Amino acid sequence: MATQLHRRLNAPAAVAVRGLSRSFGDRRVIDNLDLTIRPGEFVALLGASGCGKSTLLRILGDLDPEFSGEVTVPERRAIAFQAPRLMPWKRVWLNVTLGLPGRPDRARAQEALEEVGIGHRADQWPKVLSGGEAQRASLARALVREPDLLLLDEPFAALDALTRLKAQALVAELWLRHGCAVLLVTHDVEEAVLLADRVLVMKDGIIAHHEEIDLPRPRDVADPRFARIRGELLDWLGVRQGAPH
Amino acid sequence: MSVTEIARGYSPPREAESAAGSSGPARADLVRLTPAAARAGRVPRWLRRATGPVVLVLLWHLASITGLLPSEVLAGPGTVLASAAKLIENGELQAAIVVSMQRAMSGLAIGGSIGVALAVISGLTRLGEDLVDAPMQMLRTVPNVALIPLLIIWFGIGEAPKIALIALATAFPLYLNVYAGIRGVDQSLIEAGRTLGLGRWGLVRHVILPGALPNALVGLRYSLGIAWLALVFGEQINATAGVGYLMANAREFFQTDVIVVCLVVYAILGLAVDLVVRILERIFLAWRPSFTGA
Repeated sequence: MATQLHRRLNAPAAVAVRGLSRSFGDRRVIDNLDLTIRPGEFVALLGASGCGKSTLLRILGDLDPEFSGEVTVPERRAIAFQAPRLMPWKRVWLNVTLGLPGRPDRARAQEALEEVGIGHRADQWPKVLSGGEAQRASLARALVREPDLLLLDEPFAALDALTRLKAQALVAELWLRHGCAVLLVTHDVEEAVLLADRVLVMKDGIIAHHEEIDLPRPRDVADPRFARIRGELLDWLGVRQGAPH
Repeated sequence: MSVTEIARGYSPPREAESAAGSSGPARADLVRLTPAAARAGRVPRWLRRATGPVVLVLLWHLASITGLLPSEVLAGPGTVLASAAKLIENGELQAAIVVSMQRAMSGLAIGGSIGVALAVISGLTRLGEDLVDAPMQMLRTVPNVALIPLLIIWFGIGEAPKIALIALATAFPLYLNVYAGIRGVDQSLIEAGRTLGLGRWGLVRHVILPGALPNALVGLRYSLGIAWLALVFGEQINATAGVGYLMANAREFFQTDVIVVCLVVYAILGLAVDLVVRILERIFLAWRPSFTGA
């Protein structure tokens, strides 16, 4: 099991996880898990709710030190959560620069906000942003740190369908430009296939399945190959398809 | 039935139609809804709200001039206004207000600083909580006014016991609210702050203290209210100046008009400082989603 994911290891890994375990009480949510993410690779992590995928992300984000095993991650990481988690008492641009060393750099914040398409919202309070705009601000705040690893914890789950499509396209575009490794935790199979180089299915505390997605980008949901991969992944997730391929 | 049929206003046949024997489709009773702007009455709201107090003052005035309310019991509004004018003219009232204001504000400054400082210590650190919170929770149950005899023994009968009383009284509301505010800061925001690279001090400065600010202002409001209450009690301790002194003097000579003037002054001062806090909230809490403008 330990070697099945370690193909194409010609570059030093962005994320290297060996024998990772994490228990809550006597429930072993992550059980001797191995995972490697290459630099610049976009990895989507699928799994039923409660399967431990968010726990894994929190461990990689150094938010949960109660694990055992060996975990190596880049020093420069950024996280975008399901809720945007903007500080309501800071203007949008000050939210973007929060935590950066030195004085708040307005120009840098503005640039990051322009990149996600909400440059005109820089001086607003977070309370007036729409859900999509707040999530974009949260992305800008993550990317302004120029991370080597971007962790996305179901960032589109709370958005409405149309906003989600736009946000997904934006993430694809930002990833191409920044070239950072991305781990996207999601329960949306279509989203995973649309965005990722590789889709992992987490089950029983380990990576039960991984699927390289070599469809050309931008990907088309109507592509039969897309549909086939989605069907396989749904099978792995234990969702029986009406018409199996 | 096709979609276009529906769109063109096709309506299915009704049973009611044949029963009623009418030719056209039966029409439900309709009511026209009026927008709020048109619905508002002819009398503006502020005028309606002003009516109650005005009627009360009128009744008071009537009772005075008919002799129903003797001036030894309560002077009429006319007399009260006249003596207020006199007190303002000879500068007594202003001087008294300045003295009382100074007492209340220095007491609040001292008590408030202590309350906030202790709240920050016990809110931010586990050690501070263990050392500070339990005694504070015990002490806050002691009625402040009951401490007056002790304060007189400790500080004599000058300014010190009055200010000490106000300081004691105002420290607790600020302590409790700031402490609750610090402990109530959204954990997910603290976590987000950590992932953004904020250190301990950065978290305190950018996340925890701003997050506790709404509660702190609530505490300030309570403290100001209590500062006034404590001032009234404090000024009963052998005051030689201030609104309380004016009142005590008036009591000696049965000047109910002056007493009423002093009561009104206390009320106005209370309202004024409340207004100040509202303005502070407007400035510092503009970010709050629930804030709709005072």
